Amino acid sequence: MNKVVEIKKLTKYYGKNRGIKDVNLSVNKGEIFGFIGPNGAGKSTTIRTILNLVFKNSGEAYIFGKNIDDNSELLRKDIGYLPSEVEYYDNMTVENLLKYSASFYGDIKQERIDFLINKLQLNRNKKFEDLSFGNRKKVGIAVALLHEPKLLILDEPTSGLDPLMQDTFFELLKEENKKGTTIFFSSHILSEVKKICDRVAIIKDGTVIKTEAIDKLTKVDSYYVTLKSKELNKLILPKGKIQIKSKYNNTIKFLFNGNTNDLIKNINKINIDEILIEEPTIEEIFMHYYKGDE
Amino acid sequence: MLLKKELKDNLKSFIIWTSIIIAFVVMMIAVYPSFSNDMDAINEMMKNFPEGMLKAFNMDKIAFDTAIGYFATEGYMFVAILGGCFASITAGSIISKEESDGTSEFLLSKPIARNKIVTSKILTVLIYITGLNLAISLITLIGFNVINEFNFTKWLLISVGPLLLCLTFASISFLISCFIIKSRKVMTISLALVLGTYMLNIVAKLTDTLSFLKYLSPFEYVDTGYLIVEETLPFKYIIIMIVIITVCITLTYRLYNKKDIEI
Repeated sequence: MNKVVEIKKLTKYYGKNRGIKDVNLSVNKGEIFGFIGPNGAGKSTTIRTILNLVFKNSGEAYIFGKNIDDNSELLRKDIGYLPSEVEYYDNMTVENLLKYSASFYGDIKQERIDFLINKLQLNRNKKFEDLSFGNRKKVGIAVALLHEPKLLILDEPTSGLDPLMQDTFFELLKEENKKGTTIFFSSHILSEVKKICDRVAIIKDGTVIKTEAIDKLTKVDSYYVTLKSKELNKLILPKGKIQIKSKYNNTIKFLFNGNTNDLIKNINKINIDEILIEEPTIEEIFMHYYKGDE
Repeated sequence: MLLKKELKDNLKSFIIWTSIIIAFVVMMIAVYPSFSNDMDAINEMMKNFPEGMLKAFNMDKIAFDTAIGYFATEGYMFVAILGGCFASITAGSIISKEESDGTSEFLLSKPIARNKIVTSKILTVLIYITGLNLAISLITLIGFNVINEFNFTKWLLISVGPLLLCLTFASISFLISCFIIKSRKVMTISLALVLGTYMLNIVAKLTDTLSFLKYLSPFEYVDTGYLIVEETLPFKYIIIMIVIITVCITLTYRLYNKKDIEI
């Protein structure tokens, strides 16, 4: 059983509104898989459909190699789920919520609850309704991790967390991952995906348009060059693919894909005030897919 | 654990409703002795009541001169309406509350079958409806014995009647809550269901041409006019109630199993 999640031509419409259409993807055992797309692309719908929170129109999905249609209840024993909007019982305290959640899984020790409360710096006696958005998210993370599931499904887990807490969260995820937990992680914040994921699928308008290893996806041959010089008119750019992004006063910015040595030699022939060479941001790479017609 | 939580969540409203209804029943029974002393005057007064009013409250059929007769016209109506409201509101909100509060996403992602969730919720409502009706019956049992006018059959009938009524309303509200997710809306509909069918029953009694409407009102099914006079439950209505309850509960299970969570 190498594939922990396998989705084949999964389609879900809400009445006439498109949720997802023919989504295909698979997540391998032990990997951290990113699921990227703009708002409304169908990330949450995909997740909710494989959890049978909403019911598919067509297609198939397997978790741990088992069809979700037949084994939904049993499968959920080994799944930890963090919804994009965490809504729990208002009048329950953090600790009681975790205990209540634990009661569905049978044997969960108090130490596990204490560990998560401490790690995520939660106030165990505070009622859920009194928690801030970020703290609610933290409770959601604790609920998802509580029973040490084999598969973690996290829908936009980092929104609302401060940067320090994000680091703690990623640390927790990596620890779980080391223990063998597979992580399926949706996000639209691309830098965090790059930080933690092995592979990503990009979803757009309800359909997965690309699945790729993160290194491959972000590995680029082009880079941005920004030059400031009074002698720009004397500059001869070498052969290669050049895309001028902006040019005003004495400053030029262009995307360059060619022989770097030639570029440096040519630049050296004029008098330079400032120079900046940078990689395209991951956002720009993804924007290419989001906007593309593929 | 789920059942325990449901019972705990609904305990407060159970206590409040039960206390109010019990207080009312106690008050009704307590004033009876002074009421019965003036029976001649009351009978005289009732002769002057419009016929429609007597019909609407079963005063045309049941004699006022026994404690049970008196209670069957006055107290029973309130017990039936208030009990019906409690049953209908509790049943209507217990499922829909999870949807409107957004907690269904938590609950349904747990390793528990949807059938079990519905069963816990139905069981909770059943326990509280039975609890409420047992408490009322206990009070009437004591009350009628204190004033020394106890009749077992009549007492049993006016105890079972409201219980059946509550169960019928609860099952209809369960079904409604599968379609409507806003729990406040469900509450309004549940309440309208009870009060609306009560009005319907009165209209059916008053207007001969509209008397067929009585079949649409569960209040007609357990009408004291019949229970007290005939000293039995009307067989055809028992069957109707069993059919309503069975159909509604079966559909509730079916629909809840196929329902998308609200997003």
